[in-house]
Amino acid sequence: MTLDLENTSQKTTLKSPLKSWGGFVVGMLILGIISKLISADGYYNSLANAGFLFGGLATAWNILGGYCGQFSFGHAVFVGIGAYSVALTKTDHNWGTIPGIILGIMISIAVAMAISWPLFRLRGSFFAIGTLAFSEVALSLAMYFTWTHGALGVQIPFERLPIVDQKVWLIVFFVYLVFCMGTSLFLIRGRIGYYMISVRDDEATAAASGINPLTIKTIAFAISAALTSLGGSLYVLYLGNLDPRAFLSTLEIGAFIPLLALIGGLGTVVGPLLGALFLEPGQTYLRGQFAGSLAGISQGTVGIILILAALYFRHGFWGAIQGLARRLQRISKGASK
Amino acid sequence: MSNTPLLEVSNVTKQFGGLAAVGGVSLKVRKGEIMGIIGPNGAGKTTLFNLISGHLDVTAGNVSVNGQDVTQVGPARRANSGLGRTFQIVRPIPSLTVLENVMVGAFASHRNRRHAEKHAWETLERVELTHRALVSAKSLTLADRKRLEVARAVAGKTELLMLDEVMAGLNPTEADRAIEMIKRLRNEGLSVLFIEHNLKVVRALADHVLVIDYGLPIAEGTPTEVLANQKVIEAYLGVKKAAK
Repeated sequence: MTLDLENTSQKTTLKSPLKSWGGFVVGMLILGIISKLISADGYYNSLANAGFLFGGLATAWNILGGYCGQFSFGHAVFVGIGAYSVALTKTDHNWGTIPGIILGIMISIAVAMAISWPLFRLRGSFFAIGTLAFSEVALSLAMYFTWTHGALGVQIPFERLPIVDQKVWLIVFFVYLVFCMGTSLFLIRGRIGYYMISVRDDEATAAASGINPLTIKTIAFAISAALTSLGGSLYVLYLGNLDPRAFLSTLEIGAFIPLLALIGGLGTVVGPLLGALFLEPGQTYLRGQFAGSLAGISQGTVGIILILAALYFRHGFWGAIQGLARRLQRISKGASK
Repeated sequence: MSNTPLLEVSNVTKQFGGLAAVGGVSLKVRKGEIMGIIGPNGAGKTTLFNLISGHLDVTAGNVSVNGQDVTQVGPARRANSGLGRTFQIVRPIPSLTVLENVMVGAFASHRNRRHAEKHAWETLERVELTHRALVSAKSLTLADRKRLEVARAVAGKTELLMLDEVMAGLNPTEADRAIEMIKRLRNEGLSVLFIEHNLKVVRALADHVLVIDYGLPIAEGTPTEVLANQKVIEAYLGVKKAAK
């Protein structure tokens, strides 16, 4: 067999332009310009803020849940750790913002690594249940201790908030999103990304290729937790108020973040962002539209979207878009013949 | 040939409850050697393979690679110390392309993606699978999937290639091509330990054969010696038929 090896090795293994750095930069520039344009209206500005924050959180979750296949319902814990670290050090100990954020990231990494050992003994849905239990325990503890201010939560004094301008927040959340997606892209293009996918798809094959599944899962968990913690810190600085029932909520954070990734496209770079841009502002919009009418109808609508997504497009929005692109490509190829 | 065998298995035993699936098997594979393990269905061949690769823990006995005892370490570290295996039921990574599957193996010795990719292309050429490199691994035929399994194993730090029924399900032409491939890999410096049902393949490939039945070794030697052995014939055909 003759083979032009020089030529073939030039071809990239990654067919999608959105998996390349060039595509990433172009995509982020377009997103940045659009968000700048719509931010003139305060309402859209706040929708974009939430969309970018949750896009970043869903991207962070996707590193563990999508690439590595470990479905965590416990990421509210890391949002909580990030939020508490900043809020408590700021209000009770007079720390600056950055040290508080870094403290939160360190604690989150330590906690993720510590609970990896028992939790990764559980597989599939049992792992998911384990993380759910972990999240509920964390909520109870946060409400119990006095140093966490118990059920009252933490109110950061207004003058201690570093940023109050919505337009500046838009930039901060956009940078957070770019950082999360950049990390996600960097991982999936490299050795660790391939290892995470191998562990997700088949642990025995991964082990036979010299990969220790527990090590890879722990690394994925630590990176995911660190990025989530950063998002949690930003979130509390944005709101100025830490209500433990909101930050450690399974419904609004712990299960909502995976939902965004799932609807957008699990295990892809772009999917979690698409899910967040659609659902997070969508939910806010619905809440506004249905305010005063039937209670819980906005959550109900989100639930129906989840069911439809699970039934009709398992690969999420991003999967549907890719499928459509492939079909168009085939049609145009057929036409040119 | 050096004095320490590449793989030395001494007296490994695997007890599943009261059942000894493997009851004290010893074997040695030297550098450059092709060794076959044969035996009737349920004889414990695949269990023995899992004990060697570390996918199962031994109840008793030792496994060493290049003189180093690996009995207590997991499958990943055994793979990095030189044991590369395929699975009887092929298990490629379905969401990756063929090339990317091989890259997963290649990353063991090439941390950089470009280098791993280049090494994966070279490995695909060794197993004659370059024409399928960019398709999804789940769209391959069985014969190509088996080649992919071999490529993934070979791309890593493998010195001893362990093939679990790599010929099963292949038609005679495909099997002949696979035999040629394994011979070529051996000539390129790999040692091979394989499980096989097809005795024609055993004759064509093996320097040395170990026969096990009910988890126990019953014969060992060259293919010709072993296949003429009365106990082996009985194990394969049953006592009554052999007596006729």
